[in-house]
Amino acid sequence: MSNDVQMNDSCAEKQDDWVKITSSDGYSFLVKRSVAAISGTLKNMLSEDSSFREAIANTCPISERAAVVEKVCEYMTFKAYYEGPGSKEGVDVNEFTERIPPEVALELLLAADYLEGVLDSSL
Amino acid sequence: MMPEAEDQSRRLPTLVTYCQRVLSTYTDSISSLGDDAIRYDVIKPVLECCSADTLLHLERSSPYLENDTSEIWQRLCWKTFPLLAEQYLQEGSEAPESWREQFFLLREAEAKRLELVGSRLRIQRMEADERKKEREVKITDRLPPPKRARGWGAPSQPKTLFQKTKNEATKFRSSMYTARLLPPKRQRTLHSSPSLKPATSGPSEPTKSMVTVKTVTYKRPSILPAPPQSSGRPPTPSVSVPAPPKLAASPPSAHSSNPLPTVQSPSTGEQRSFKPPINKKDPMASLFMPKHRTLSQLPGQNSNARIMPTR
Repeated sequence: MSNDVQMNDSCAEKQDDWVKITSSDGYSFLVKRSVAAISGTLKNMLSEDSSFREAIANTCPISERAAVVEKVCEYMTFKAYYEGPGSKEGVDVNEFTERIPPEVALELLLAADYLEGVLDSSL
Repeated sequence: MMPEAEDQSRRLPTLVTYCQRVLSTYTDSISSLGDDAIRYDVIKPVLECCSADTLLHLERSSPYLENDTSEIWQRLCWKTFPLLAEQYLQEGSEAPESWREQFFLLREAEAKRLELVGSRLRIQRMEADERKKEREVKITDRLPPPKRARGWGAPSQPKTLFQKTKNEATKFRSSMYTARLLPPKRQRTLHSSPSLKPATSGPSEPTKSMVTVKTVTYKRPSILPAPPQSSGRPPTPSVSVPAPPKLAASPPSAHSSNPLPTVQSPSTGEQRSFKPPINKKDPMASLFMPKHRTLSQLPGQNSNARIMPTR
């Protein structure tokens, strides 16, 4: 409930709502807005301040295949959890590395770079 | 937003970082970087972990990389060929146009050097192996050439019948006499025969191993010198051949000065009956006759010859 993401008051009640992230091959992933906001790019796209179509629809298409998008969501969730107030302990380096299968690593790298902006210095 | 210190402990590696790590681990499996251009910054950590061949391959598929990879090639040169790079540094100081080319030149040079050293080693090892093989034991079904260690004038066919017989006789004699020597030393006197040469004797008597020998010390001066000297013999011994008991008695009667025989005559007589006693006509027989003590003590005579074979 309590997120570090600061949003407009008008959108305060929307912090917990879900947003949809779609992949190029038709898959959809639902994540909390706060999680999606980990990615600066997504955050901007989904921001109500903008008049992006995505924002209105609360949907954010990513032109990657589902496997990649899934991993992106996973990472965002992972990060949201560990940077939230809940956990205090350190994170093992390999904890997420193991979850990246080599086959998607390259694409994931590209996608991460695209969605970057903030993936390295969010919050 | 958050203070730096807190960030340090809580900052997660970025997804980009994670991906770079994973890719660096599996550089061999990277076949291409895809159609879209990747920012060099992003892919750089991965390229640095690539091998030279992978790097070359990736550059071929994504030529835009070549602009930035010269530093990677330089590092590869230094890392892979330290010796040659040192040489290069000492000679000149210009950086080559293309470190990539330099790398492959160095690689070829290294390969040549290794080949040279390798062939040299191989040759040495083969030579050593050959030498070793000459010395090792080989399985063959041919006889090696006979050695001519001694007897350069020996007949080529030493094993003629005569020679064989002679050798056999020698061996047999030596074994026989050896056996007899080991028991009491008294029997020394037995082994001397008056005049017979040991070599020529191939007696058949030895088969009678049942013969027990007792040293008899009584003098027979007349008999001893030589069998041919039949004249010196008292007639009685020859007469007493068929009648052994008389033999013993005769010498004392003939030569009263002689000491009495110290042995029981019948027993010795019996023994002697097996071997034709002092019968000069049978020189083989006297092999077994106890020789006169004086003669047996003769130095360098047959006695020595008899005793010698006991090696």
